[in-house]
Amino acid sequence: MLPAGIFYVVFFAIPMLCLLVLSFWRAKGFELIPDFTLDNYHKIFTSPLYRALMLRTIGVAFTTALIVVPVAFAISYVMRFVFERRGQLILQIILLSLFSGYLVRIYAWRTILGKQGLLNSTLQWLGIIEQPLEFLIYSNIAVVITLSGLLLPLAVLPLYSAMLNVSRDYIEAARDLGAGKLHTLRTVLVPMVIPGLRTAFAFAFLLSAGDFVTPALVGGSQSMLIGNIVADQFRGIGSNWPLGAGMAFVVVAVMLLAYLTVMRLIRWITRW
Amino acid sequence: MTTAVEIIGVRKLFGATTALERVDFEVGAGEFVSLLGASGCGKSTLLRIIAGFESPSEGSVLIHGEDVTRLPPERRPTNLVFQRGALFPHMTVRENVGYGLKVKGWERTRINSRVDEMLALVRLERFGDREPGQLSGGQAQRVALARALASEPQVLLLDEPLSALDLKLRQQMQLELRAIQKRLGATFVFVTHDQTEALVMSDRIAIMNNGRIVQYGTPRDIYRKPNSVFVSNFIGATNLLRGTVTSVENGQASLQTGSGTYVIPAIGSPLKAGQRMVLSVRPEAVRLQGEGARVSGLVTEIIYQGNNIRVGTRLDPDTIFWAEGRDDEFDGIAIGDTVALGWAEDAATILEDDGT
Amino acid sequence: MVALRKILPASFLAVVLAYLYAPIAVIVIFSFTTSPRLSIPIEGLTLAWYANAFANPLITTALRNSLILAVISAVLSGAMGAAFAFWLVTLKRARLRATLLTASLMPAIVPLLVIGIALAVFFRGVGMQQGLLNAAIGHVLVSLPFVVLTMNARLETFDFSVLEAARDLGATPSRAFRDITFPLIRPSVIGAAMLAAALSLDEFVVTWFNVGNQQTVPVLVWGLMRRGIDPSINAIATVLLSVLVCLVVASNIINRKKVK
Repeated sequence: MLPAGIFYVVFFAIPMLCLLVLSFWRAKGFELIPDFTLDNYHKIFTSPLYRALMLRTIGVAFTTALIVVPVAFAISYVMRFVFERRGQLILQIILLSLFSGYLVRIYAWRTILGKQGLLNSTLQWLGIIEQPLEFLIYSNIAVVITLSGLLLPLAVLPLYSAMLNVSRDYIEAARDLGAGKLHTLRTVLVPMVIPGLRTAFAFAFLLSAGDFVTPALVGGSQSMLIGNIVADQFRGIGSNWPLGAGMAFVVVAVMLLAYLTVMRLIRWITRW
Repeated sequence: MTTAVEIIGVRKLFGATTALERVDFEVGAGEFVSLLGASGCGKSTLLRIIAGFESPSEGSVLIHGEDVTRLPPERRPTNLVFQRGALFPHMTVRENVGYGLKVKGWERTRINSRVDEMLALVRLERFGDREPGQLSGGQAQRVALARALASEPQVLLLDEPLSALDLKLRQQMQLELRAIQKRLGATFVFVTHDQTEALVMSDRIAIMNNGRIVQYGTPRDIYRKPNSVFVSNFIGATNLLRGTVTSVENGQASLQTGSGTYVIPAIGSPLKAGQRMVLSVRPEAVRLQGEGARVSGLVTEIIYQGNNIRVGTRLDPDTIFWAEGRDDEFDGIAIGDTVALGWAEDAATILEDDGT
Repeated sequence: MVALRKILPASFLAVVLAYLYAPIAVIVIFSFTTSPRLSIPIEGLTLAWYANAFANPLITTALRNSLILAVISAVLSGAMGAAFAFWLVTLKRARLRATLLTASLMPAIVPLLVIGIALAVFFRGVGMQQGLLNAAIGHVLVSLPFVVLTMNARLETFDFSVLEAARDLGATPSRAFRDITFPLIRPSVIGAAMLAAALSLDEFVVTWFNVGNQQTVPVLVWGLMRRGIDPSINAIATVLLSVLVCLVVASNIINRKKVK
């Protein structure tokens, strides 16, 4: 226990604390000056640029989650109740795609969606379009498509596990008692996998909000997200670590708040 | 008879809950003793304290006179047969049986001959090279027994080793265990929740309830002379007639119950008028009786059990009185008949009403 | 045989799998095509991009560094995570156990970006120059939760009475660990360590903020990607994903070999 415990404290808890402390400091050039100022937070909350980026990030993350969670739910349902025993194998295949290289997958989407990329060149070759579809790349759509592909396997995992615990008997009992297919889904299956839905949504929403590589590669300058700005504060020209630290905490807090609001909303709707 | 195990004033607390309350208990050398009780009564805790897996909050454990209270399990002369065998899944049957000897540093040839001897004892000579996963439940428990006996422990502890087996196999294993114990002359302490199992195998039974030993005696004593309503209810089936003592005269007392007044012997127990007492009568002691009948009522239940038949008679709205006997004894009785029932005086036990 | 009622679900499944695997297929296929542009129709096949990729002087250093990091992650995360999970399951209080498990999974839930910058701030604070060591610490931190999770899943079905049986038969605690525990959990530990290695080989975000001027394979790939379309990226990516897939499949198989 001890080595891992110490490791967690020294290299996880303390660094997080350092980040928090730093967000109240000032930067002068590349120097960090200890202070207790709310300037960073003030800047974050008053700048129209940051506010726009924050809103766009929430929008993109929410759209991604809205695509990923229903698809993951449907796929888990198919794995659990249609393919039954082969579900485990399908799960392994889906999870394996996570290990094909994180950067590689994002890059691959760029080559697929690019102006002269695979999709456009195929469509042109087939004579379906004459001019390449430009909205496919360097747009919010490209970011959402790519993030959905990255996060879908992570959303399937909790949903499928949750459905494994739902015996087919419950579904059959509901049908036997006269509930229609949709009614059964809404009143029996969904309530039983709520924890799985919650985890799947958390993965899709929080992880897409925190990603900066995808917007950097397929979003271009038109579709930067807040993560890009945070990253730039640490590795860009004219970086500002204290400002970046403040942003990181604001991002996490805003996303957590947005997540909790959505959860509340879902609970309110399902009680309906 | 020398004493093999001695438990002196042992208490065990788990946080705020008391698992054992000042238990005193001893087992003679060569004895087969069962700890019998429902789950949560403390029997397994007591066994694990003897084995050394739990340390008592108070009190001490002696084995053949030596205080082992502070010794870890590996330094105690006891071995345990676990509920589900706990065979090492990555070792063969032979390696399992020989493990204790190997740890003790025996040389290979000596281990081998001892393992052969043990496998012969449990009749698994041809299974030595199997993996535990390839054994049936009964075979696995035999290997566990052989493994625990291999290093000749001074006391063998058994924690419900038969509970996972089906009835037929369990009955066969009960006799086998008993035979092995007699052959070796070893001391066995056996934990079970199955009263039949305890009655079949034990020299003595300790009945446990709420962390105490409530009665300790031979199977016959416990069955025939239970010392409490709890024990009479726990061992076998019994009819309980609750009431109040109304008078005590000439060694005889009257017990007034909802279904009538019974005359009971008052010798040896200081009965007083006004006391709440319970009369316990075993169903198999109850006979159809014309004369000298003690109770009568309407037959409401007849349960055919193959070798036996059970007849339930309603004495009053709250009491069904059961009689059990051979089929032909109750020939011709039908539901709705009025019957008179009786029993021999010494077949009834008078007990204090402890509310159980 | 796919029954009629399975046709619709099966096609849905096929579409989803295509969505997940199309990017990977594209990378692998175009690592062998002659045209530097990714376009249809394919003109010809070549191994030139592989030769090109491995002619890059940085690739050797990047590979060496990535391997060093992977081995460090495997060994440290494997050992620490296994020990931690083992300690966790022996805890008697269920509430405490659940809380500690959740806490130990935190590094997997906090965005990598935040972990990366927090470590960078910390290392700067304690005066540790950015470099491989910093990245290694980041890798161990990021892979630890996954090791703890896999080990915990395995140990929840571990029959602890075999340990008591060993003690009962005369084995000291350390002897029981050597004879019983370790042989029984070894496959899971190795499986978890391989998973840690795979995570480390693929790690980019935390590395990027902490590795300084050093190269690892993902950092190198990132640099090439930013510069535009370069088919040698496809070649490196194909090699990387083959290694990752092998590691993960092997880890799964080893883990699957469960003890009855």
